[in-house]
Amino acid sequence: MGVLISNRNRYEAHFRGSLCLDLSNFDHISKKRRVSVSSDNTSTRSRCSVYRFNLYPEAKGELPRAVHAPVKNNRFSFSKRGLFGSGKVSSADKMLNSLSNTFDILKSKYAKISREALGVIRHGVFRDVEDEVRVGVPNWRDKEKGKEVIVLDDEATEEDVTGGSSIEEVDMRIEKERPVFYGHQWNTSTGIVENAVDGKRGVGNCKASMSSPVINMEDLSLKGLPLRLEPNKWCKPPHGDLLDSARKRDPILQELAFQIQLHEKRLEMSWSRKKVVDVKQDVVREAFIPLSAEDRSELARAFAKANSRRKILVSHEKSNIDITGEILQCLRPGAWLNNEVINVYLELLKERENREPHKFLKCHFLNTFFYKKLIGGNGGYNFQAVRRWTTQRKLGYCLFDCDKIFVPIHKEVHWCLAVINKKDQKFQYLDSLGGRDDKVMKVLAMYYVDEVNEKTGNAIDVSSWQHEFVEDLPEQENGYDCGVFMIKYADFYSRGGGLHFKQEHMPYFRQRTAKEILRLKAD
Amino acid sequence: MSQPGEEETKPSADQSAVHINLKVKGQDGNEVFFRIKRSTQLKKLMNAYCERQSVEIASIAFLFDGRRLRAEQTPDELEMEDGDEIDAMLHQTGGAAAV
Repeated sequence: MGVLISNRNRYEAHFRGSLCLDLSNFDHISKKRRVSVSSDNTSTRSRCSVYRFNLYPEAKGELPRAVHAPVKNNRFSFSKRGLFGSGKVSSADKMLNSLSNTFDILKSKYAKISREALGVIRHGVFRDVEDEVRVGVPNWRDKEKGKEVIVLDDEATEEDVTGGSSIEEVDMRIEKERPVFYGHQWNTSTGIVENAVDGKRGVGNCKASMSSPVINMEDLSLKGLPLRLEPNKWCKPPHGDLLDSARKRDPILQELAFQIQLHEKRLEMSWSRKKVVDVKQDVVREAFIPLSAEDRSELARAFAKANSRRKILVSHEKSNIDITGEILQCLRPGAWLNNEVINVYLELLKERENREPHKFLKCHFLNTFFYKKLIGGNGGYNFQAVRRWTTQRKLGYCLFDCDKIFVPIHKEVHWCLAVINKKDQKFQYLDSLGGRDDKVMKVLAMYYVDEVNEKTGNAIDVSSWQHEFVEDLPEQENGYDCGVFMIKYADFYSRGGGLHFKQEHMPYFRQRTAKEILRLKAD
Repeated sequence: MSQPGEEETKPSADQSAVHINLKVKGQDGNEVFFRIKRSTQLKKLMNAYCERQSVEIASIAFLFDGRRLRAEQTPDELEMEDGDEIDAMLHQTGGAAAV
């Protein structure tokens, strides 16, 4: 307090001696202002202090006075605006003296509360201090402090992200900020009444922009404002120096913020890239898992000639298909695939998707007889023949919900695959010999419209859907592997990936398919 | 292909609860009608159809609403209704375009 008072005295002397040209006028005015305040609000203030004591009963003066420097000219130009009339100097001084103890206590109280609050909401209080400054001196804040507030807020949010060490930094800054607040308030306020008004305005602003714990702090600090202001009227705030030093840090902090953003972006990108690569590798790896010795011996037994050809090796319950030794023979190298093996395998692909729906596209696999039935009858198109094949009751899902519908196409002695690709809005045709059949596309387009209309009642328009004869696809280089190519097109497409295989993989795929059928589980 | 015929198609009101009329449709579009007991295994129907068509039973896949039929299944089990259609499809095989 001693420091403060001496500062005030020194400042007063300095002020009278050099700063103001119209010294008497200014002195007079300022004193008048103080008087008017005190005379108008004596009762209010005393009431106020009582109220404050009730709020914070343990009063202890422990905060050392901040050293204040002389005030800039603009402070006075600001305060001059409110000057008028004559003043009662003596009463104002008396009020100052009588209230100085109260101020001391209240200030330490405020500091204590602030520190307690800091422990709970570090960044909130930090913002709080800023807003208090704004409450006291709205004009000043707009002119000088505005920029800094933004930067500091940025700091708080940026450093919030970085963690430990930077949090300490924020705390330090808050400690430094406090003297700025006091000095500034004492110096620029023009009186209790004005301050109270500003304070109220400030509360409104703050409440709009701040979270609830911060608002509590705001209220406390605002109530403290008018009392704390007057005795320190002539003190120069150290905010100038602090502002400068804070601004010196701005570029560094901005640089840091940029670095943080940069690193976060990089991390994000590397994650997503890694994910894509992982998925791709997963697809490739899972599609080419080597067979174990156990698998091979099991296959050898199943393929053995000695095995009864009529013996049922495995039975797929859901599709009612029995795979006998004779049927499985078609998966031996060089043999043509039959409908039984293909239909069971497509069922297994559907079960695979049901098992791991997140890993595979939602697909439906129509059987090898579907297309034959669809084009049977007059005009080469008979929707009625297959109308009941795909009811929701039978499938357990709506065909329209599927991303892809696979339609095996049997052409006398050749297997092809057609895809109703709802995901990419196109009809696709895959022929391992590079053939094209426009009729398949047209029939499937008609079918899909009729099917959707029949099952959902909606009329859809597929005229804009592309008819794609897939050209960049693995092709067979012999006269017997088309069936394997066909089922593998379906396999890879239902994985959502490209067709990453070649003719050379066909012997492996034959073995693998046989194994998967024998196990009744496709991977 | 032999003449499509109708077998055991003498529906009577008192038997409708026990018997069911089924139609077997060949791949070429011809239809054969059958009347069997609801509780009778479809094996009987399949054999009769293949005999009539002079085809080996192993070469035909019987489908009901797109799903394969087992010889042991019965119309009751499959909740078949009077007049329902069974598809008789030839097994398929393929390896390449005809050379």
